[in-house]
Amino acid sequence: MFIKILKVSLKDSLKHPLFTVLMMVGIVVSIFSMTTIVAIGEGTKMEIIQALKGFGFGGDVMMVAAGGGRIFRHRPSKVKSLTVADAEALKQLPFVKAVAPRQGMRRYVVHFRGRSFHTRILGVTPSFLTVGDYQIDMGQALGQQDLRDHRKVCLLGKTVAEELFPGNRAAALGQFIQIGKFFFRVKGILAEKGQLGRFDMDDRILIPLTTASTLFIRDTYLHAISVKLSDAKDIAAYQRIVRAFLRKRHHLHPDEPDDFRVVTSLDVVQIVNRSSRELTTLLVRIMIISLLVSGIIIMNVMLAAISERKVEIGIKRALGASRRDILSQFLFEAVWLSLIGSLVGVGIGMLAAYFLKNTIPVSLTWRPLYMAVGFGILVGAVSGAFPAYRAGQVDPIRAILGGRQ
Amino acid sequence: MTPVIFLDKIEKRYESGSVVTEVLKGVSFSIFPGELVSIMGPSGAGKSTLLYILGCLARPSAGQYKLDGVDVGKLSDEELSRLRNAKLGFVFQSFHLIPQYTALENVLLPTVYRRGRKQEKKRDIEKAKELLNLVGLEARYHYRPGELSGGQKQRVAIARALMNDPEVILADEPTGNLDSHQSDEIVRLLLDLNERGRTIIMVTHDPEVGRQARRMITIRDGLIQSDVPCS
Ligand SMILES: Nc1ncnc2c1ncn2[C@@H]1O[C@H](COP(=O)(O)OP(=O)(O)O)[C@@H](O)[C@H]1O
Ligand SMILES: [Mg+2]
Repeated sequence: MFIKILKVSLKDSLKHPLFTVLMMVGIVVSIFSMTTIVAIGEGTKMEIIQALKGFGFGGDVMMVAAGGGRIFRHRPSKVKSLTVADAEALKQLPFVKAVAPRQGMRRYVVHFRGRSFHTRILGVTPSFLTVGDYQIDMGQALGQQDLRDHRKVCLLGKTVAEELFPGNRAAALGQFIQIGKFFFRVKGILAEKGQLGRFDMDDRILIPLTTASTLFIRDTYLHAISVKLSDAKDIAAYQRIVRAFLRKRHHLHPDEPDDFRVVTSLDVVQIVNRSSRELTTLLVRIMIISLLVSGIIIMNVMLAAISERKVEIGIKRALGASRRDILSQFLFEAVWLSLIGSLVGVGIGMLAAYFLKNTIPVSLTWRPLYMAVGFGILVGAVSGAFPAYRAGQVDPIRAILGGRQ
Repeated sequence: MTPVIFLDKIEKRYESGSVVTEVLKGVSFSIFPGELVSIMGPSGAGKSTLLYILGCLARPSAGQYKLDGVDVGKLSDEELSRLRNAKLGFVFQSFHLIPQYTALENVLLPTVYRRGRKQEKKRDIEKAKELLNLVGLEARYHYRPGELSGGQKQRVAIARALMNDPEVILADEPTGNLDSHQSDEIVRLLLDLNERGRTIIMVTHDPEVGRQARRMITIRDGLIQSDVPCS
């Protein structure tokens, strides 16, 4: 019986294509937009995580930053308690493979023969390249000699190299560029790292840490230490150990706050997740509204269809359909049309996402499909319930005798 | 022999607000298997009302109705629907085929609501075709109602009424929308079916048609005015 009514429902809605299409329009559009929004949201999240990995936030890297408080902040801290000695001491920990202390600085104007560019200068040690996963594109890396002698040498990020030496980056090698008041010899050019969101990872110049300390910062405190771990197994535990270790080194009293932050890939992922949750909340609100609209469309089109199909209902009742049979038929119709509509919506959405792939970050997952199936059935059942009930209540005699009574 | 239809003091009132229309005021009769009965009377006499009570689509306000020995008054909508499907076949004045269905699909429609039996799709289709052959539409299986004449439509409707082998066929003005030639054909078909043993109750206000039956019940002002055999 169930199967037969389902079949009739399918068959009859195919015989009323106009109503069928009208009913599906709303849900197609709303599921389509949901799919693309989810794909773009997930894609952006994936891209950020990917980019953070490139930034040196792979699972096996953690960063100790000077100053306590929130994990990410816009301005570097002025706290001066983080030192090269801290960095060296961290190497004692069994799970620490390498450390890369650094002094990050505000932006400076750099010049070369009338060309100038505003860029970020970082004072680093040779290990910075390995810990941060930097490759040398041309020339040489920084060496221990450079640090020991406080040499004025630098490595250019690709963006900087292109700005100062347009068309021929290689020409930069061996040239002297002016950073602030000082001339630095270009020792090497870094391979491209790409964008991190709006943040250009190649817009930077690396100089020896010691040089930065003497010429620019005029002090030896660090802004951050990148720590390469031997493995990424228990990052949370490593984070606790590093924190305790540094608190002890800094002689912090138990009720004093940390004067540093230990940031791990977990924190980064958490922050990305938080922002994607915010996106999701927004999405959910849009979804509720658009599904409500789809539901109202389905309900109204169905009510119109039912009043148009009253005679058909009367005939079926006379031939042995019960009220429940009629109700079931129309409820099925609402549910399966809504389901098909939302599957079509997902299909178009996925297709759109697929074609957008090269323009903006998208991620094609199964999630929209599950959501579409769920919402399709839900919207159909909820919005079809009342019209289906009305269909069941159609008086067969009135319907059969038409307008005569 | 037990009557297939047994009516005892059937009344039907319509109440809309304060207005009460008494349509049937106590109608009693029995119909036995194999009869061909016409129900006659002027327009508005309550013929259709009576037929739809017989058809279990309307409930009487008072009185008892037994269909094939079953007291219909106590049944639920589900049970009444089952009864309609199994024991009754309807033929309407305006044919009431489903316009989007082919002739064959229309004839098969009662099988959708047939309960309790296994799917017998192949056999049903065979039978529907036989019935269409029987009513003279062997070449029109896949025609839609829009492509058929009035008389042909009514023949499809008769085939549909026969699909589940009903005990009784109920026809409300089956010739009302037909010209006299087509009308004759339909009456002849109904007579023929009765010859083969079908019980048929046919409402009509056309005396020419009514006289063709074996028994003629005339209704006036909600009561039976006469109930006589025809020659
Ligand atoms: N649903 C209804 N509500 C109110 N009055 C009705 C209804 N159905 C029929 N009637 C009235 O009942 C009377 C008999 O109608 P009907 O049985 O169709 O007569 P007939 O078929 O003999 O022409 C008419 O006066 C009609 O107006
Ligand atoms: Mg009538």
